Amino acid sequence: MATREAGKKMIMLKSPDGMEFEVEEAVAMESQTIRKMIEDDCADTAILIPNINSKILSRVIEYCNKHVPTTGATGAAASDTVAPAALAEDLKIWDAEFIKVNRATRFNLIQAASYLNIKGLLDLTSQTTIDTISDNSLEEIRSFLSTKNDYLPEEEQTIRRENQWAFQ
Amino acid sequence: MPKEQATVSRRWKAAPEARGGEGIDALPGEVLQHVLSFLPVAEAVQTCVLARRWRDLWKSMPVLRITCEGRILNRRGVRRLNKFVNHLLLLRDRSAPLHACEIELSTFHSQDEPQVNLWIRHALLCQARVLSVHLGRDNNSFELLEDLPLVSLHLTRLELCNVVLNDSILYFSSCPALEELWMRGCYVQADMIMSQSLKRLTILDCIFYPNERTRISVPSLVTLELIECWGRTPLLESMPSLVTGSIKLADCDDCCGKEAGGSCVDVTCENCSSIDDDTGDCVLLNGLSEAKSLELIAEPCVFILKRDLMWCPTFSKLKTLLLNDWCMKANLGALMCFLQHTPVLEKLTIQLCQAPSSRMGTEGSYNLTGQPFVLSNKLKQQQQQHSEAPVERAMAAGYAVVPRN
Repeated sequence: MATREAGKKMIMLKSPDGMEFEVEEAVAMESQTIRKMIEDDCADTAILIPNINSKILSRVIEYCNKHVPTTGATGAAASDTVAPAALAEDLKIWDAEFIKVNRATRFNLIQAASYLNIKGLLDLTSQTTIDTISDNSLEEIRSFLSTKNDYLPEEEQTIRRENQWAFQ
Repeated sequence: MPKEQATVSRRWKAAPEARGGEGIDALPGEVLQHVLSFLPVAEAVQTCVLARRWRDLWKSMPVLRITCEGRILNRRGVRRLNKFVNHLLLLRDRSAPLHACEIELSTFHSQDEPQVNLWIRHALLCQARVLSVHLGRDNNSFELLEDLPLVSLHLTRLELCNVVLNDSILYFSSCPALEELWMRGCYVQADMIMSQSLKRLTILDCIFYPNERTRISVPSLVTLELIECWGRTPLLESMPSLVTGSIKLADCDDCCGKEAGGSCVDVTCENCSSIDDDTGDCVLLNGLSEAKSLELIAEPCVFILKRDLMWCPTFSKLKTLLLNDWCMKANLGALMCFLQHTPVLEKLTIQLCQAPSSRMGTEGSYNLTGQPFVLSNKLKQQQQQHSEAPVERAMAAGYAVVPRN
């Protein structure tokens, strides 16, 4: 399935719900997991990405497209005239917009970034999650994380006593 | 095609089992630990009461961020911090890999000090690959590791801010994997910074006050930044793999009033005592001679770069060079010297901080015609070579003069 377009090698990524995404090899290789497959010559065909649905996969590809160094598919050619600092600032603004998603999508992105091993995306999604829970009460944090307290009351007391040194 | 796909998908390791629910609990434990490590470590430990699944997650976080979150610590605060971190390190799962340990503390006013040195040694025992220690500016008398050497087979990056560094710690012979050293605001009392493996070195706003001029011996270095340091500018030894070097000299001990057109009152001034002889050492330029790209910025009173030109090496790989006002002094003597010693230079930028005088073109270009100097034959040849190269230059001799705003 790998094809060539304008000298650039393309890779086909498939989500479990049957959608296909043709991306440049360089973009796909932003994922260390896919990079390893390509380098091990296991990717000369469509790559099925398990557990990541097409909606999330398309967002991940969007992220990789933006973050692929220099002459990426974004059409933004590497330029001597743009200072690296300005480029980094531009990316930061873009990231901030990109991550304005609902909680469920963000958790899915974390999982995808972890599985595909895309460090920048994993750090971005993790940091955003932490920013939303920092300085909140326990109940608020449980609610933000959609996690359910399954401790018995006396169990929770024991845990607190055990780790009292962290609650002072 | 389906057959091929099956082959490919077999090569994927099994995707981690997603747990029930749409929330964060759907994430596998190792991912949750990664997310947790973005929290200050105290808050990360406190997540143990969220739910059963979270009970022990903190024990195997790959990153520890030990911080007092900007608070000024009094004696009680320091004791509490020590108690907390000691508990944390003892109760943590020692078999879990520790990727990074970051210690960030602001001011502490106390006879009791945070036990930072103990924590660092513990982190290194846990095979941390990244270690960073940031103290507040007010605590810049804190002596890191009390002059013991750093010993780690795993450490790759070290970041130090506002600490005192003695000889032993900067002698990295026991850190064979160290590739990156970043220092800011540190007080360097070492005669030598030595590492065989270091590739990136950044020294910002540090103070060099050893007995002798500190020598930097890092033969594998690729990138060097030496920016606005105080005291005596360190001496760079040979760096055959260097690609980029950025030097910015401002208010250091290697200043001489005469250079800025005034007088010098410093009886120990190296510039005044050795200005007419060729004894002494080439401090910076010899070490930088293999670079492909250099930025050499100095305030007018700094003499060390100009003096180095007495032993000016040939920059045989240098393609890009950025200089500022200092190279324009003495009828462009320094600039001419550089042009004579940079056979493959493609791009030269001169950054001027003073307003362009009448001799300067108003378009930011520099007009060579009518200048009171004579070009040597060799230099003319070089100019011809330059004119064939794809360069960004303003005028015949080819320089871009960039007024700094």
